[in-house]
Amino acid sequence: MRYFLLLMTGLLLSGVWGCSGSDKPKLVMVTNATFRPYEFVSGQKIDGIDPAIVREIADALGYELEIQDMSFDSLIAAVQSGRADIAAAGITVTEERKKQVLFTDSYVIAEQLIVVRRDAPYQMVADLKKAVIGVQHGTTGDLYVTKNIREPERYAHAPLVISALLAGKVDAAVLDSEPARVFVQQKAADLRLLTVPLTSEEYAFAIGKHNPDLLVRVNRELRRLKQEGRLDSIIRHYRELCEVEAEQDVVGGHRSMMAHLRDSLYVNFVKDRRYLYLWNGFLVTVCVTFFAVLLGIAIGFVVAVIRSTADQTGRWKAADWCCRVYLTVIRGTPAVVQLLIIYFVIFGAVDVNKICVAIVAFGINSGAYVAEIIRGGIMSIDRGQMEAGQSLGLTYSQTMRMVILPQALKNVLPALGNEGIVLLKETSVSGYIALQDLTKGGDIIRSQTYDAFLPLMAVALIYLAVVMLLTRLLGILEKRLKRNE
Amino acid sequence: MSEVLFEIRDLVKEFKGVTALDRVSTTIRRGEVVFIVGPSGSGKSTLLRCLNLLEIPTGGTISFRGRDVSTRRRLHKFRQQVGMVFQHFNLFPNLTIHRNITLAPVRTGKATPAEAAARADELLERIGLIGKKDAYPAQLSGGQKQRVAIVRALAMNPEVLLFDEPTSALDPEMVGEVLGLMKDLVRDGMTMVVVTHEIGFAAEVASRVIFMDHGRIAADGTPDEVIRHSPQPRIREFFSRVL
Repeated sequence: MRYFLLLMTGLLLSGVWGCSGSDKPKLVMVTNATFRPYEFVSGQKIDGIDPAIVREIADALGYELEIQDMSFDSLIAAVQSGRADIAAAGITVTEERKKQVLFTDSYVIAEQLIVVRRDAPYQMVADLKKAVIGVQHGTTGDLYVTKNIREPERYAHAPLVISALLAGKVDAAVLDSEPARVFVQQKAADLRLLTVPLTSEEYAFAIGKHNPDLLVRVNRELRRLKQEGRLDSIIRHYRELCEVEAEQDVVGGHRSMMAHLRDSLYVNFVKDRRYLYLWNGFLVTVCVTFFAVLLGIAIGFVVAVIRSTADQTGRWKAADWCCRVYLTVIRGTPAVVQLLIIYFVIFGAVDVNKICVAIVAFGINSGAYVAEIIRGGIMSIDRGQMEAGQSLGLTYSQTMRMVILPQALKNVLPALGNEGIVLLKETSVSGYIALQDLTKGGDIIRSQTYDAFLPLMAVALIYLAVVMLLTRLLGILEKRLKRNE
Repeated sequence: MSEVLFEIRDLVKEFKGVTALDRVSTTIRRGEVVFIVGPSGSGKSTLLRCLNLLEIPTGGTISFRGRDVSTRRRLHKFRQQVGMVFQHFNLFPNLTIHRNITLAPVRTGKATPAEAAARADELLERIGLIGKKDAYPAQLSGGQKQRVAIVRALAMNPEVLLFDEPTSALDPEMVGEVLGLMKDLVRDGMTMVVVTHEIGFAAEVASRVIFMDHGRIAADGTPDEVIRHSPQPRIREFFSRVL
């Protein structure tokens, strides 16, 4: 079942890849860009050891490279389904994975290292029997710890594991050696590595089983890069780059609170123009919310009118039944599940902008709640209004349009505003489809600075400010409408 | 004799097994002012609401100007010829007084916006509320609201006006202004069917009085015959109590 779902996910995900206008054949590489120095987001693009190596190979083979970011646990499924050509994300070669995909020759030998807090008593692997261990979900560290030590705490990406370790949520973090070294260097005052690695492993690229030809060609290029020494120089380049960046991001441990805060603010928001993640994310969030609210009101309006007409006149039975099914399904399932289904299943085979997907998903979700709000508003209007309209010779729909709905909408405006506010916050799950909304923007900053506090606070404050502004605007609008009474 | 507007034959209305109208038959002619009176629950309002098919009859037929309307599907054309005034006014609170009056004539295509506006001004002038044309219903007193509701119905130039207890929801000091306007309409020759508890008013202006009891017409005649000199003791007792 699990594999089926993975397969589905990968299959559908891959349908969303964009197309570009070049004549060269395209090589689609998937990765999970939270794994320094192998892959990480730098500015607006994905960089690191893996992208650099695959780019060299793609160039040599005459492909145009396209890189897609996705969750680590979907990578295998993506190449397995054949929609992505190569997965390059510091993937460890394991027997289980070999059953699913073809692996190239390994390009690096990595170790799983154990990171602990500096003051913790742990010295070797055996000490960890009773410790709470944090891992990145779906990684070899996860597999190894689960199999050989105990059930770990699984986080979405490596920086979160470190955040959890720093916050005392876990006692030890098991990570790949490269990022683990970077983290420890950044937080040298708080963290240290256990000297003995937990296990060592080979990294290789994964290619779909249907594509042995590509495997042969990639291996040939990989061998060439090794012989030319190019492979080593790429790896060295990115290791050094990340070490330098890590040094710059170190926030000194023994200075005053204010100085510390100032440094944190600088590192989290100013350095490398990181505030742009928040700003761009904010724009995405506002855009998704705005159009989803419009769509939700349109859908809710239609559904509410169909439902009340069926209730009051006995017409439109079939449409009413459809509306009931819609309401039951949408209100009976979580928004994030609906979002994933719409992204992976409904729009799986088509190339659609993620923002559009989010607007459609949240609009459809909100429509169900808006429908019931508006229906309540229609029901709350005195029966005499419909009778008066009809006694004057207006039709049912004329009376509905010109008399009932304007009153109903005015009555439900506060409830609709509230629904908009709920929706604004609901869109924070957009990160599930790798849409960089405000929440995800904060996540990206955290993945670069390993500071859980400030980015989260900033994100929370922005949401709060928008909600307060909306509440204020709604109040003014309500007051305006009340003047007519 | 003048033209027959309503021809009602064996009208039956049941609400969930309770019989509200029990084989009612009567005729309403142009120019008549028919008052329907009787004890609470006798079926007066139900009969009135059946006339413009706000209640759909369970049995029997209603013809309007020779055509059976009780089986018609598209009722709005028929209803455009039959005005109605409600106990609770039912003005549209989201529209100004002026828009309340012009909405139906414009939307049903009976008048152009300019014609409807001129007619509304004229009607408001007549009831002395032209100064309130841009006010909203909530800014008016009960009596003012009911007078606006009456001219709203008049604006459609209906063949007949139905009144469903038009003064029952009013404070006593406002009843007079509404009855005064109704009296004016009688003088103009408007055909009216009125359900009311204002027996004195009925005795004064009615051309015919229908007394209803237990869903049936118990008496039907001139005000003298029904209100003052009914041979039936039950009817005499009812009027002695309310007059």
